[in-house]
Amino acid sequence: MSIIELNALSKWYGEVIGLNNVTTRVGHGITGLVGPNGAGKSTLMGLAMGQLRPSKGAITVFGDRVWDNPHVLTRIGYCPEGDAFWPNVTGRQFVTFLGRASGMHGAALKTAVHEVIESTGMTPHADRAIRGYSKGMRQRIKLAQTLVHRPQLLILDEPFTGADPVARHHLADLFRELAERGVDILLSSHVLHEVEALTRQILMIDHGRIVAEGDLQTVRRELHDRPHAIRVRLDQPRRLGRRLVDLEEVMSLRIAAADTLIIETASPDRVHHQLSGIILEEGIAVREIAAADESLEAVFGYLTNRSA
Amino acid sequence: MTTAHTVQSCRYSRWDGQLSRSRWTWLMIVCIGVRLAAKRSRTRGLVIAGGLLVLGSCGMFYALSLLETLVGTSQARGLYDFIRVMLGVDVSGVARLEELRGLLWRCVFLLAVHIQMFWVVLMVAQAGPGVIANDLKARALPIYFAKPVTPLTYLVGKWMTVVVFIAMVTLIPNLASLLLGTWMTGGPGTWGEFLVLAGDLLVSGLGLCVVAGAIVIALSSLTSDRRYVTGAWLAICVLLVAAQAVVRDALPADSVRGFLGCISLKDNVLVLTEWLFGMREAWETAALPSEAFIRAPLSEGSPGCAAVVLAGWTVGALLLCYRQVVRFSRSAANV
Amino acid sequence: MSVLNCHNLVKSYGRITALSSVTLAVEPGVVGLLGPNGAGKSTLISVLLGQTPATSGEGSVLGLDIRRRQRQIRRQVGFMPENDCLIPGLSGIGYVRYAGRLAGMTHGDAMQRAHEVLDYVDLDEARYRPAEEYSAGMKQRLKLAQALVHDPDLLLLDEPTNGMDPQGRQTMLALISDLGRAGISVLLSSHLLPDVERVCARVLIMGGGELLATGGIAEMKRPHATLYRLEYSGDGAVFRRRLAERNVAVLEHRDGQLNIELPGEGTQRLVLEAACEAEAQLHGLHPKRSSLEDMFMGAIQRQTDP
Repeated sequence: MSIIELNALSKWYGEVIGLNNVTTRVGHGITGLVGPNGAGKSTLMGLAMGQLRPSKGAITVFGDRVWDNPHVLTRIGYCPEGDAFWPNVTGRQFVTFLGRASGMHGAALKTAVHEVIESTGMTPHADRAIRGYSKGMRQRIKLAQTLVHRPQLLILDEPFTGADPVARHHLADLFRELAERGVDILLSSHVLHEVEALTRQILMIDHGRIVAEGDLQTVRRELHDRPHAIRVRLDQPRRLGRRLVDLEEVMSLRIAAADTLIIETASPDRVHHQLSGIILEEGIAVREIAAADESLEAVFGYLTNRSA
Repeated sequence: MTTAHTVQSCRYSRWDGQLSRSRWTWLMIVCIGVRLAAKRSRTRGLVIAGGLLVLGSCGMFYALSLLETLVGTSQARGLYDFIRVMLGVDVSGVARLEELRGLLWRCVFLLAVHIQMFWVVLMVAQAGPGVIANDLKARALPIYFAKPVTPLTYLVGKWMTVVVFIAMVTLIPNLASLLLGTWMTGGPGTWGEFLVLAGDLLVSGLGLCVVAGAIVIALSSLTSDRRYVTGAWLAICVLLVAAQAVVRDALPADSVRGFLGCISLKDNVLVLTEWLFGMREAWETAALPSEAFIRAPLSEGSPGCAAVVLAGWTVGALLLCYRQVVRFSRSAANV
Repeated sequence: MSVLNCHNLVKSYGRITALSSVTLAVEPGVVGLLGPNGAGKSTLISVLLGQTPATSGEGSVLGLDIRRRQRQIRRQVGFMPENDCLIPGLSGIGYVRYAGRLAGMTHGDAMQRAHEVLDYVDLDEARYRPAEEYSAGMKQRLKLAQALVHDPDLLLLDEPTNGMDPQGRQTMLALISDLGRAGISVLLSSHLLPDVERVCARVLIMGGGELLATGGIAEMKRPHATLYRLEYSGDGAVFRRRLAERNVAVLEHRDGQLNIELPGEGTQRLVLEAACEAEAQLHGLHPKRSSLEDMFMGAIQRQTDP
């Protein structure tokens, strides 16, 4: 069952297009929303939160439409990009107020606030005014208010911005933990390797259109016009190359360095099948075998080749 | 610099020029500040309107020169009335008007300065508040202080930016009036008198620019929102004038003669300008009967007091601004 | 000659000690400066630029004493701040020229050099537009241009890839590497460890106002001799048995992945033999490498529980 469904959804701002005729589904677990600046990620999140009204088409979350439907918002937690707070309230007051706005009260609210401040690592700072927080602390308190009402779905726009490596590590662990508990997360980030470390489900947007969705590896396999690159680190690249050039599946070979051979092929599985055997036959010492361009960063580069 | 490589191993090319000791950095800050503020049409409008005063002054000079030739005739009556209304003195009884020319020209300039006071308030409110506040808002200070720019250089640059705009509505029009009037009518008298008058205008104009400029940059350094600065500046001008009026009405004139001029900045400036122009001595030499005066020719107040008050405002403002700028320069990396 | 030198540098604001007795020496090259928020990185940069005087201790930048030669230091150092430091109303070219003139360049030199650095950072027609209208990536490149205009020998970059999308980051990192090759030393402060790993040769890790660790990236990323991670498809159980027969210890196993330890250095062929025998396809053979993240977390950990 899909959590968020978009059907022929378009959104424009005057003449500027935000999303263009998008039909897709976001399922359970963690989904990474990636795309260049201005691609439509924040628009999509705004639409999913009911903050933006679709210009055309429809979007439903948990089967309900979100525009003009505050009730469904109790099940969603939103952490927007940007840095706008009431500077004079303390972190705890901030989270408590927003928890109350989501319908919680009394002892349940107090416990929830305490838990969520603890899990984002803000306990030592919670009773200071937000005005004195560093960028990373603000990000974490924003996340705390996202989580306080224990939502079923989290929509996070650049949640790692401004966080130092320690905080990033904690946040990533937190997201994983939440996903294991059954919370669905849609998060967008420019730091692709962090998205990749959290999930293999991606939704890639460019120019307001979906360019790829689903499991990263499947997406990569679908890129037929981009042959796969296998990198082998070994002592005698030319010797291995001489044997591999006879294989039908091998499209090109490149000696990238004195100890590195890059094999390009449209059928990586078949090459792998024969590679170990050939290496053993030749008796070459191999130090590393890896896929050179199956990472999210590589796939992103292939699919969104805009100049920066 | 480039050797004969056909292809460089890296794209970045180094520069072998020299960096100067940068004594004129403050002037660059002024140029940019003036350029950016002049982009706004209201600023340009105020400058042009301030310049129109030149026409008014030259008109007065022409009227005076015309009057000299028409002394004693019936056509002079209209002109005598005009002079009486504008300058507050009836010169119909004077036989040789040429002897009073220097004095009357000074009266014209004093009138101009009176009008320019208001213009200065508006001009400073328009061009002044943003000079430092905009940099604070845009967080541009790290750019300045990562370069070999000292807080003092920055302060002087910003100060002079405002001074330029104030000069455009006070000093420049006055000097232009003097030149144009001299060309049209022969000047205030001898060459010596011309130069003395030019010098007095220069000093009084610069003094006003410097004081007003210092106050507004101090206000601008206190906040990143220029609107607060505009409000504070207008409040200072208006409230001080109001306070002076209240004090003048409340206290008997004789007792606090010396202090009355000290509260309002505008009146301090006028007192000092009159002292600089030597108006008291000039009026005494002219020996006009007291009925000739429509209103008191001299402002009340002692020049010494006025000078102290204005100097106090200026020094206080500059110290405050400097302290602020030094504070900003120190935290530039994480502002 | 080292580009940055500090000896027992201390900076305190009242009761708060931002830097406590920092001693470091940085050689020419591209160096990363890492640390959690509040570690003192910004304070260190401020003190080195002479913007705020150190409470005690000595330091020198490019051989110039930080207490006495501040103006000269700033002539030879370029700083790219983290925040959007634009001067409202100026176009891109106007901004860079202004930066050049503030550094002490003549009018003609500033004009020519500003255009040169804007070419370098690939701001073409956009340089004539107001800088406020720029996208995040363009603003970052503009800030880099103003730091480079007076051709400094040392660049201090504070979060240069902030807010940039992946392609923008690649471009920026490529520029930084290029600058390193041109002979300019770079001190790069960033929270994005992969960025630092990609361009820097050494790292300095700070925490709580102290220098916690320094290290070279190359030596850190040297592959482990015997610990490997395998990716495969096929019968896992059979594969593991064949590996065990060859004295390859299986430390961890998951679907399609194995963490193993080889019996000795250079015995990778045992894995290939096992794979062939088990009719498993070997997709990946990855020697364990430290990541910068491990080094960083290790240093922070050691500080919090000594």
